[in-house]
Amino acid sequence: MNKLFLFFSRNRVLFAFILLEICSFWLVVNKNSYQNASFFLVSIEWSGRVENVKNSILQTLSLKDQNEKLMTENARLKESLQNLQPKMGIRSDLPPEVLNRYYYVPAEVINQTTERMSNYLTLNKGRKDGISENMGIISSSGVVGKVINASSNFSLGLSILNPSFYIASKLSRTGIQGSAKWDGQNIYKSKLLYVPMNLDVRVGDSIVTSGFNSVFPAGVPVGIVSDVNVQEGDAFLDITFILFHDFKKTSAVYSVGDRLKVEKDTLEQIIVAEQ
Amino acid sequence: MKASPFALSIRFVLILMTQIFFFKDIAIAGTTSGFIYVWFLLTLPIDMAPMTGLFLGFFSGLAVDFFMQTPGIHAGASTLLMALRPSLLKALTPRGGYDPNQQPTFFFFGWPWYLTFSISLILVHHLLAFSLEIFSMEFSGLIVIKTLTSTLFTWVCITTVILLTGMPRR
Repeated sequence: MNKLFLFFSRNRVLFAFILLEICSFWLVVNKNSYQNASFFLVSIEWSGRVENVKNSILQTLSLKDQNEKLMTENARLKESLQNLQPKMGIRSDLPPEVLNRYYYVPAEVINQTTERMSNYLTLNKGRKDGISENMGIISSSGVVGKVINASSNFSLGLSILNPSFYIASKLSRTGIQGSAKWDGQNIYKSKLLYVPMNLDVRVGDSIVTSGFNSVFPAGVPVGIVSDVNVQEGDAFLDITFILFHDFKKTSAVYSVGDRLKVEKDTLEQIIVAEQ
Repeated sequence: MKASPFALSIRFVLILMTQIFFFKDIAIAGTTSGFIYVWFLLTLPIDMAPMTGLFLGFFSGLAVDFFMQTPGIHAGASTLLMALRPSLLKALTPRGGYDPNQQPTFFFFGWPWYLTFSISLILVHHLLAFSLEIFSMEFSGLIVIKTLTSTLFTWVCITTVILLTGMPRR
């Protein structure tokens, strides 16, 4: 007994080391259940505050650039509004949640990672502003990510630079569907998966969301095809595309909410139940 | 150098702020990132008790994790660094032993000593950090590349910080 005690006391540093490493590993492994980890709710809120200060400094420096971006977007929106106005009169009999199915919460990316394998971003708007889990995040140029956790003032998003993020997409020229997924190589490029070999895909085709998984509305720009390869012995094409959203430049984004999401998901639950 | 807990906390807060304000967003060529906060762990007093060092490593890593939103990655890597540090210091003991007033930098022990000491600890720290971050054997090549390039980058940054701040007082 005495010897055992002596053994422990002599190796106490080693045991403390093992214990602390187990704690760290436990934290790392638990990041898979990212959404539930309470570590994050506290961490988002506090690192959010720090990042806010940092951004207010940095943003002053990039104001001109941001302004230009917003102006082009304003112009684009005005134009599409003009096109829409005549059509809206005809369909005013529809209920408002169908007419205005999607709502947009403007937000600022105040923190993001791009250098990791799994990347995340923090927005400066939270539950108070109407953001909730599974809302899509888009910018004026294209898809950015989706909200996976929201505290009262901030929300945490899964970036599309994340190999666990599949974007239900289609090629706008031909309507061919596929799934866009980042391969961890380059923050400006991504891959389009599951497009069968025999289909016609060309360099320069643009990719938009198909709207199938109710995170993004249909037709949000995703990227433009830059490379199409045929892999020997593979049933699918190897398609590389350039992402429209530039993570290094744009921080103004919108969180997109779907007013009919609950209805759609409830209906689709039947499929899950059947299986 | 005898450092009081107060002075150590100040040092830690300053380097943590540098880490999250400047180094967090730096990713050269998408693979290289600098973990300058390792400076704090490297330059801790030589005669620090291993147990104290271990816990200091864990908690400072955890603080970095908190702000970088990387649970456990830096805590694990820093704990490993601090676990190896005493043995490495012992193995590198110069003739005549250590003086409690000395800091583990090139000012006191010269460049060969400092290179061995700093590069090996940073390398081990980064290797574990990137392995935990990527967490997949499929990308082991990427782990190696990230570790090597980032070790170099961190080392250059830390050495610069030591040059700027670590002048021995005479």
